[in-house]
Amino acid sequence: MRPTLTEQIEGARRVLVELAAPEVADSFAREQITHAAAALEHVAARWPQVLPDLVADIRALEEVLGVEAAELSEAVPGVPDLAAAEQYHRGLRARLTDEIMAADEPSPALRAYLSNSIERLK
Amino acid sequence: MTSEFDMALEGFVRRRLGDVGELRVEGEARAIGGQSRENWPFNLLWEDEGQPHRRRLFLRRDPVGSVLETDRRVEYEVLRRLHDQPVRAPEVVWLDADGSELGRPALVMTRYDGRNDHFVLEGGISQFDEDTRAGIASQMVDLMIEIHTLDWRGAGLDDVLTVPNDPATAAIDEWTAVIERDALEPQPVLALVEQWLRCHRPPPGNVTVVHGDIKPGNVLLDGDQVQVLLDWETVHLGDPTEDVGWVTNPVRRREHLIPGRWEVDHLVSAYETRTGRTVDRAALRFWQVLANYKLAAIMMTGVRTFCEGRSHRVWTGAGLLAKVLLAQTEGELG
Repeated sequence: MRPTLTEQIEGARRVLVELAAPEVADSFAREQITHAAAALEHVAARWPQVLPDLVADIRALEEVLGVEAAELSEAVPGVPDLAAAEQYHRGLRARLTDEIMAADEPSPALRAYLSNSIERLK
Repeated sequence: MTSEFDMALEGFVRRRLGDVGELRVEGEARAIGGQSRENWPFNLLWEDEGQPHRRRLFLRRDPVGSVLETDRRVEYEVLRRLHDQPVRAPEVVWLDADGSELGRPALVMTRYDGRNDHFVLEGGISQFDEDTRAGIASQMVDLMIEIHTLDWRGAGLDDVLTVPNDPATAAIDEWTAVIERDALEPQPVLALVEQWLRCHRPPPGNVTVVHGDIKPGNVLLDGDQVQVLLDWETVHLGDPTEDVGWVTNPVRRREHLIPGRWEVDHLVSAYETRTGRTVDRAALRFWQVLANYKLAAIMMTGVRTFCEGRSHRVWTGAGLLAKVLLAQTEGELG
């Protein structure tokens, strides 16, 4: 449906940059508007990929931890529930953190996972 | 400034100046730049025994939600002790340690005329030629050496700062505690970095004053001369290589280096020549990693204050820092 979510976010960003910022005299407030506009730009670009990237990260994490792939709760048939997936992901990340602290030296596979994960979850 | 704040500030000043006439506080807009403190320049005008007085001052107040939770009393006491020392530190005037008078803890210090130009070494607002910029970069090293050669016992700084037995371990512990306190989710990359830091910590050596945030963004320039170093909130006693690691952190090249003209080797070599002290390269690498671990911890605090609605700065970019930390601990960046 138009405007799409991406278009709405982009529109809100334009309001901040083109209408609000030039009218704000306080330099501190203007700097915060710049940060907020940058965040909206990031969200507009990233949100469609959030769920697929999170699921991909869960699968990669399960592999590096050596655990069986879990069946993720679904919001509607065939589509994982985002909140449930985030909660499961947090649990896996906590487990990974514990494993890192317990090991002498992180394995190359673990480093590779972390490196790829930063790209997926940025 | 709001009128309510004006009134609080005027009352604060009046309680310190005593019975003076015609007291006026002329406030200016909140200054930009600090993410950890609110900065308010203001002028104070009053009459005493028929004589007019005018003083230019600067107030630094803790915000509702800061990226750094440090103690204004410690900063005040350190700066007070540094006033008659050979170091370009600002003069502190008054303190509201617990925020009972100004709403939140605050320091008042003398305001200097100099210009702040965060990215002066790459051009910034000053747009100096390369020779001038190299001269400023060299002065930044002198400034660092002034701090590292201070007689901190003679200045009485050990009355207000902890003397660490093992500065590297103390630094890891300090920033790990911040991460544990403020991180809102598991941080496997930071766990890996903490482990790396503990395995690579340099042995304890000479303890000096460490500023903790030396950068052009924290100095005022008078023309092309470095006039004063501001923002002493992370000052502590520790390993001087910590400051050298901070200014050679690969993430912050734009602030500290001039490509091809003033690189890490130039900076470290200038420091070594002028101090007569060799900088151990393994220790330097440790402190460069620690610099980004500290930035990551500061970011955790920023994210928490934002998510709890206590600050307006929207934090992004944790991924970039994590990426750099992974590379640094693999030896890809030096």
